[in-house]
Amino acid sequence: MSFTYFLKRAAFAALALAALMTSAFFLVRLTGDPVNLYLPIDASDAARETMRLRLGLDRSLLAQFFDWAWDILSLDFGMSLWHNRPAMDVVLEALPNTLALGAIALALAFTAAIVMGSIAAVNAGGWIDRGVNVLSQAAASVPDFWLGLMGVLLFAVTFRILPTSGFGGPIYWVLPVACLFARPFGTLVQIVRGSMIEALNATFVRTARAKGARDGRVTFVHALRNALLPAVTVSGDLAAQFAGGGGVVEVVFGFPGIGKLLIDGILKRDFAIVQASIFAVAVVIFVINILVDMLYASIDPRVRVE
Amino acid sequence: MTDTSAELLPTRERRSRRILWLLRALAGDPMAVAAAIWLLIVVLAILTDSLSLLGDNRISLKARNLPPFDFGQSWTLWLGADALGRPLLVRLIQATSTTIGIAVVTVLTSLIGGTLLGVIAGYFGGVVGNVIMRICDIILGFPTLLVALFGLYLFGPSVGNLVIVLAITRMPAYIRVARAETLEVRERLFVDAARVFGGGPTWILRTHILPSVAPTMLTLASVNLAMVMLFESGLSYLGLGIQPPSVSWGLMVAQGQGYLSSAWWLGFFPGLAVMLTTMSFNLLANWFRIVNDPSQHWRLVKRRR
Repeated sequence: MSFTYFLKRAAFAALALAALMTSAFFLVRLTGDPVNLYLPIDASDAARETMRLRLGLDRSLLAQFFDWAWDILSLDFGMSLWHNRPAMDVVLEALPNTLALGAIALALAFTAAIVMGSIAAVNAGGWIDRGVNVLSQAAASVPDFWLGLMGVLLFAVTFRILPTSGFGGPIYWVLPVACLFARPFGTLVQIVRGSMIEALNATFVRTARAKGARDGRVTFVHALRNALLPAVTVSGDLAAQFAGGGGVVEVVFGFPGIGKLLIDGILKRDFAIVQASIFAVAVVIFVINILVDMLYASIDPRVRVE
Repeated sequence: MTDTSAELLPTRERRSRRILWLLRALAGDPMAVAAAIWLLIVVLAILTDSLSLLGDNRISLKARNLPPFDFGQSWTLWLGADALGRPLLVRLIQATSTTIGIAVVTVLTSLIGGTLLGVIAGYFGGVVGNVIMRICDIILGFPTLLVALFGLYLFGPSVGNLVIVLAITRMPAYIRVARAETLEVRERLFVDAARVFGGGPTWILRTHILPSVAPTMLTLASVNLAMVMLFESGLSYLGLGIQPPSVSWGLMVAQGQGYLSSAWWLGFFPGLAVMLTTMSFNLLANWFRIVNDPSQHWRLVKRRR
């Protein structure tokens, strides 16, 4: 991978982030009172006036914008109202939890999807295939927050073998991982199955069979390697979606990740946290996209990263 | 085969044969049949609600958290009652209209907006096209849920904002596809011919480009319907979507959450409705794709000999 390619991608990512933040800045000032973003709805008039002065809303729009942009460029997102600490510190504490949760769920989903998808493709049209199809459609359609609640109902309330929510040892990870697992698993099984069927009917597989390669080898070496590419692409997109946090799932389980932080920040009107988490997520997505490109090039020698 | 002579039959006859053939193809896929039946139930639910055929939905303290499957009660109480004693089945039916209504309006908005912008970007290109595509790249660069959450935070949660925010986050997908299709159609001979005959751009777009692009866009919209429904229920669950006293499936799950250990049915049934509806949309979209793919539709229709 060339350095210019990296620079180009970084420049675009920075531009996208700047565009999102800047349009948010102006839209808020055009459509309403920005003080509403920082304070709860029932805040007193005196608190609003203090906040107005602190934000410098009495100055010209341009002066406000340059001040705000300078703070962001120097990575100063201000103090979190709720945590009473610099917002970026709070975000950086939550980020590793989210990344670990997403990585575990996605890795499990990817592995399981490849196995199930291949099995379904080999038995295409049979009852195993039908069963896998229904299961994966259900997994792709289930609302993750509901799956979480039902998991709590079954394993925490009824059987009392897992904690309802919170954070601690490995046992606290089981339900969140299971909930985040469902959608990527369902999506990926469908994709692996489709591309495996195509690969199994391709001429190079017939050649491999003709030269006497065994069935297992044909399926898992010749066909699977070619069927893997679309699954990797989709996993990359899914990983980028996960970087926004297991969003709703983290809220259901009170999991201290960036999704919960962001949603809490929104519900409690803590703008510093919201801005800082979006910034962090954008950086993570940028890194994920670069990694996916590199991975893609290493699986398919025809792809050159440029 | 009977199909070979179909070309010679009058139009009405041919249409009824096509419908028969589609029905036979549907019968070849039991899952698609189940999905169609469920969606039929959903449509019936919306009809009963809009014709206000529902029984009363008043708060009744006697029926608080009444458990489901008590068939001795009136039919509205068969799925139990919520924390205020309102029959859950009636609430579910009311929520169906909101949930499906919002999904349909959102998808239509992004379909129309996305197709127009995409066709313009593809046909005219230039600076306008570039600006449209770059904005798409920016929106697609962030997780959909994140953009939607951020938008609802900035502008406040309301039904109108929910539709606008969801439509905008889904629009880039339509714009990209519409643009790609337009780029391809634009180079075809019949478009050149129309231009040679002196057709203006608006006329060419309306009579030649849009009809060629429409089928792909409609397919995309049908797939997106399920996705939008999932996003809406997630946002409503978080309290950023539909606000009480309106009711949607996602909001019902949130309201039932507090009673999880004492009244599981409050959260269970609305979530199940979301899942079944999403799954039905997906299964039917799948079936529709296979039916329209000549290399695959033999899977569904067994040849009669």
